[in-house]
Amino acid sequence: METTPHPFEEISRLTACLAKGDEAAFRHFFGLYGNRLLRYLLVLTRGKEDAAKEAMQLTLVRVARHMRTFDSEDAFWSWLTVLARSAALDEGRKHRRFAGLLQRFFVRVQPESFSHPGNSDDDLVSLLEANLKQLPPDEQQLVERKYFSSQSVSEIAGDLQSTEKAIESRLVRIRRKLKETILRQLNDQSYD
Amino acid sequence: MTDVDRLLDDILEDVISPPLRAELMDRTLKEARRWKRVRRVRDGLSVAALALGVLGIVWRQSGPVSRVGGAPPSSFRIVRSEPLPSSMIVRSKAGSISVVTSSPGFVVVVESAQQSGLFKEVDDQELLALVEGHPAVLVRHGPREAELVFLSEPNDVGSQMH
Repeated sequence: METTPHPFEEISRLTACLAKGDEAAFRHFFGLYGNRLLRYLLVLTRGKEDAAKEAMQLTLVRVARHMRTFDSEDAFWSWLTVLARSAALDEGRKHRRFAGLLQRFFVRVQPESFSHPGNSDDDLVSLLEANLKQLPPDEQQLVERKYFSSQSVSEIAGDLQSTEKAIESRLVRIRRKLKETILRQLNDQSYD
Repeated sequence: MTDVDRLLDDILEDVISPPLRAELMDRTLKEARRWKRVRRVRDGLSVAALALGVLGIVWRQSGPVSRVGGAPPSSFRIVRSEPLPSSMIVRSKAGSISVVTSSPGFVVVVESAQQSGLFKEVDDQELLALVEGHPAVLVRHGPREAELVFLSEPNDVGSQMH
């Protein structure tokens, strides 16, 4: 049975519609690239959530303003990373000006440093894998079942003789712990 | 999407919460709408400028249009002249000015010239000779000032001449 291809399946069509300001195209783009951009920005801002959020907003505004048609996904992603780096740099400058002001008058604040990730996803994946290994065995098992064995929460609850709500709460706590650790490690890392 | 991607997305989900995602999306769409309007206006202005430019070129090449009958353009230019309005015309009339003519018979020419012999300066002796017979005396007060005094009898009224 043939399925109708998504109207924005081809990158050239998606980017052409974005360039025209098509709102449906923007929603589709955000769904496809939103998380990926966020990950990139978190690595770029060394795990600073607020800076990453501000840079994300600035990046999306610049996408809306300067959008053009691309023929390949690689070229499009490369262009997005340029916009993201520029946005993170601009946000960093604003923070440095403020930090400089504080430094002169009140406290010593380390100005924002700017990382230069080669591949942000690789960085994040490496950190994730390292931290997964550090989890207690029962938490590792839970994550393994949910994400790498694709079991549903209800199946896991049945196997572990627990409730779905309890399993979901544990997963939430594990994810929060992983997030805090990864972001702290991003901040502590130095890129040469 | 890989399993690692799903895990990473869930881990980072609360970095940008659903309400914040919605706000991000709204701001992005607003910006997209704004730039759509800007591009539309810019494109419209470009088309208008281009059309004006083309019209200008066509108008220059065709020259001024004749007023009568819409005749086809010709290779020569028609120059029309009109008479000046009467307010711009200056007229003069003969006899409106009085003319004064002069002739030698009506004019007396007075000339002055340096000539000698028209009068004679007399010296003191010649002056006294002129009043001979009358007792008189010449009194000099200075090189150019003298007084001729006529002497009189006791019963006559004397007179003086300066």
